[in-house]
Amino acid sequence: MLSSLLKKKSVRITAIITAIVLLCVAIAHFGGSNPVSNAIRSVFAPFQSGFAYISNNVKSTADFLAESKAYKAENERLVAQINELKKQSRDVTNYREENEELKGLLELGQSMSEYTTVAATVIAYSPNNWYDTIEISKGSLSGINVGNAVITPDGVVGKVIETGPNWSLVSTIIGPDNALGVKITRTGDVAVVEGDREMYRSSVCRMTFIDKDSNLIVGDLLETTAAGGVYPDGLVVGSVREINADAMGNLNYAVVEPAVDFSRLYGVLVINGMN
Amino acid sequence: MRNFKIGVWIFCIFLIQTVVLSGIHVYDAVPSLALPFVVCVALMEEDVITTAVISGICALIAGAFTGHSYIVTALYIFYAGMLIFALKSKPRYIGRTVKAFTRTFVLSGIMETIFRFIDAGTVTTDMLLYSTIPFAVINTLFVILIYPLLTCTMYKEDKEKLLIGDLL
Repeated sequence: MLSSLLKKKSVRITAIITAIVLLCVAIAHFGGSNPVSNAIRSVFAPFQSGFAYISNNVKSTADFLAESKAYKAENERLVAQINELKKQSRDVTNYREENEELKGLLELGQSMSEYTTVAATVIAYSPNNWYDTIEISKGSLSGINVGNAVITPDGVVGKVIETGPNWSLVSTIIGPDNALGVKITRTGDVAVVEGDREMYRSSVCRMTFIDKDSNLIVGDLLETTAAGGVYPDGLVVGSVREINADAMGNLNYAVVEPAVDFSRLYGVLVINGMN
Repeated sequence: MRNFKIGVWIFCIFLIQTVVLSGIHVYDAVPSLALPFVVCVALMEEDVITTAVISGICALIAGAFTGHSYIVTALYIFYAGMLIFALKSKPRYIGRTVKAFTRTFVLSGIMETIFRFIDAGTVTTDMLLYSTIPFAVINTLFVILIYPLLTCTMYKEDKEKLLIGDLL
């Protein structure tokens, strides 16, 4: 009888409804957290973690794809900004180097207070691309005359051979037509440094009229003497790179490397008179 | 096999509900998949026991996850399922799909109103505009996904039997 009763649909429905209600009443007894809720959450928690991981990855990929256009534009903007900053950095480096050069010139000018000087910049080199002549940015209007000495903080450059109102042509010490009297700093012996038609292509010059008793060695420093009447005394000319002697040991000539790097000349000082 | 499918359905419904939909807010409403699912099952299911069991399980799990009163949520979803089952053939001139949409809308609206009343102690126009109606609309939109998927996965054989019956 009981089995036939349980087979009746209405009985089963009533039993389910009653069970649900009783379960709910039992849950209500616990107030906040209850065993059924805890059990359900415990069962679902691992699957929620895995699903949330996948869901987050999919979402972040979708967000990335949606924003990729904006990222591309931002990337281009940043690359342009980097290039601009690199250019500014190079400009700053150039300005710093120029500033140091000009400071050097200023100090040189101040150290030569007994002379009047004119600062100028190198604006052109010799048309044959060697450094036997250079053109500077000041001329007769600034008080520069033919024959004026041209120097830098590193040493002697040469002398003015031609002037215009706002330009001057300078023959460097390696120029074939140039010659100046020098003194060996170490020994005090005098000689002549002159340009050479073959040597100027290597940016060196020749020292001649060396006293046969002079104890010249490679590396000796050479400085100007005031004997020529062009250059002030004591300015650095260059150093001895090579000594050419004959079989008897007699000095023929020496190869002199100028102290000034003509390929990187920017600012020069022209000595145009005495105070 | 059918019981397994029911289990997978219930599991997926609540996994998506808790992980994905719980983060979606439309005005003040958070969508729910449990109620549309129970309504669709109640409309398609032929057996009252199966409907009661599915509604009861969904009710118990929903109560654990909704954040509202466990008893109210569980009893509401359970009784909603049984009510829809009891009334599924009335009125005859309205198709089952239309019933799924309309009954989900109405039941969702009532459910959200009850919850808001329990929380706030009153029902205001803002509550109806920003909570009740969005909740009902979103749940109804989920019927568009759930109903055809249920038809394809769980009630396909019944549909074929009906078609064969018609042919015979």
